[in-house]
Amino acid sequence: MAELVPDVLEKILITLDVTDLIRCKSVCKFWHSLISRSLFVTAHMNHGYNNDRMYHESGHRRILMSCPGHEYNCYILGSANGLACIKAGVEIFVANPSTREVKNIQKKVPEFIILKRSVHTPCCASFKIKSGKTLEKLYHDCSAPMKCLYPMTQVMKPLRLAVWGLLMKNYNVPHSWTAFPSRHARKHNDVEHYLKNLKDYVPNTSIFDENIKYRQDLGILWSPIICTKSLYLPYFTGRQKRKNDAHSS
Amino acid sequence: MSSSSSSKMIELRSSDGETFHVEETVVLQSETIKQMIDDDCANAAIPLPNVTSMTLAKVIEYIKKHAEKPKDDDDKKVAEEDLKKFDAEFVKVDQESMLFDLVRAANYLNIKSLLDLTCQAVADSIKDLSVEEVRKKFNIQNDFTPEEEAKVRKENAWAFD
Repeated sequence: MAELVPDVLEKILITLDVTDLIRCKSVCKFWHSLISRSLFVTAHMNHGYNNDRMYHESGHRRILMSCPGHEYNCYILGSANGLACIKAGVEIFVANPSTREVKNIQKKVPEFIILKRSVHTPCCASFKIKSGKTLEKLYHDCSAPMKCLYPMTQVMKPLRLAVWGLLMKNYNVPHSWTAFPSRHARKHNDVEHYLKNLKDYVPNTSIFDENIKYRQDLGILWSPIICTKSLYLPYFTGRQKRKNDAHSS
Repeated sequence: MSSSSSSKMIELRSSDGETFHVEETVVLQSETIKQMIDDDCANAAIPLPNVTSMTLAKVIEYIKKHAEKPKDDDDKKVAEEDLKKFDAEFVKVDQESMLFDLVRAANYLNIKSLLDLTCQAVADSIKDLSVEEVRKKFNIQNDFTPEEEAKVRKENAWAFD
C-alpha cells in the first residue's frame, strides 16, 4: 500500500482522541515527530475546541490529570503557552493538557526551588519552557508581597501589588498576564465573591463550575480537575475582537 | 450561459484507461478538475493517472449524490438527513484498501468534503487499536530500536492501559 502524504496523515491523526494519539506516537519515528510538533499540538487543540463548540460541549471540556500520590493536593499555579503549571505536594509539574504529558520541572530545572521557609505557597508561576531564558517564579507569602525570582540572574524582585494569582488573558501573549484579584478583594472571604471576581478576569465563564473549590487556608483555587484557561481564551478574544471590529466599522 | 454549461459533460479517464462521463456541474466539486477546466485543459478526456476505475466510480457516486440540490426548505432538511445516511454508508467499504484509495483520490482531486469524510473514517477505524495493529493497517515498518520503543512507551505509559 502506497503511503499517505503527511498532510493527509495529519488530517487523520488530528481527529483522534488524546489517548489514541499518544499511543500512535509509538508507531514509528515519523509519526512520533509529527505528533510531537508544536504546530500539530496546536492544530489538534483547535480541532478539539471547534468540535466541542459545534456540539456545545466547550463548557464541559475538562481535562483530567492526576499526579500520583497527590490526588487531593494539587492545583494550578498558572498557565502559559497552552501549558499548565501544577503544584502537587512540594513538587511542581508542567503539564500539557492537550497531550497529557506531565513533566516534573523541579527535577528537570534545578533552579526552580520552592523557598519553603519564607513562603507558604507559590501562588503562581509563569514559565516559558521553550526559550529557557524567561523562566520566572512568583511566590506568594500570605503576609508579604509577591516576589518574582528571575532564575537566570538570581534576582528577587518584589511586585508592587500583592496578588492572589495571575492568569494569561491573551493566549501566548506574555504581557497579558493579569493579576487577580487585587488586595482589597481579599477581604471578602467568601468563595462566591472570589469566583465572581475571577470571572471578571476570565471572560469565558463557562469553564468555572462547582468542581473548582476555593481553599481558604491556602488562598488558592484548587481542583483535582484542571481547567486550563489559556486553552479557551484565544478563541474568545479572537471572537470578541471580530465582534468589536464589526461594531466599530 | 449557466443553463448551457450545466449540461456540458466532462470526460474523465482512470489510470486503467476506463472513461467516465460526468456533468460539469457535478465534477466541479473537485478543485483539481475545476482548475483544469478553468485553464481550458478539459476539452479532451481528463487523465487521472492516480485513480483507478474502481475508486473513480465510487468518487463519482459521491459527488453525484452531493450535487443534488433540494428544492425548498422542507426538502432541504430531508435531503440533509438523507445525505448523512449516505455518507455513513459510503465509508462502509468492504476492503480496507478501498478506504485508503478513497482518501488518496479525494486528496488528489481536492474534494474537501470527501477528504474530511474519509479521513474521519480512517481515524475511527484506528481508535482503540494497539500500536501493532495500527502499524499493520498503515503498512508501517517499526523503525524504533527496542530501547527507543521502550522509552517512548514508558513516557506515555498511561495511554497503554
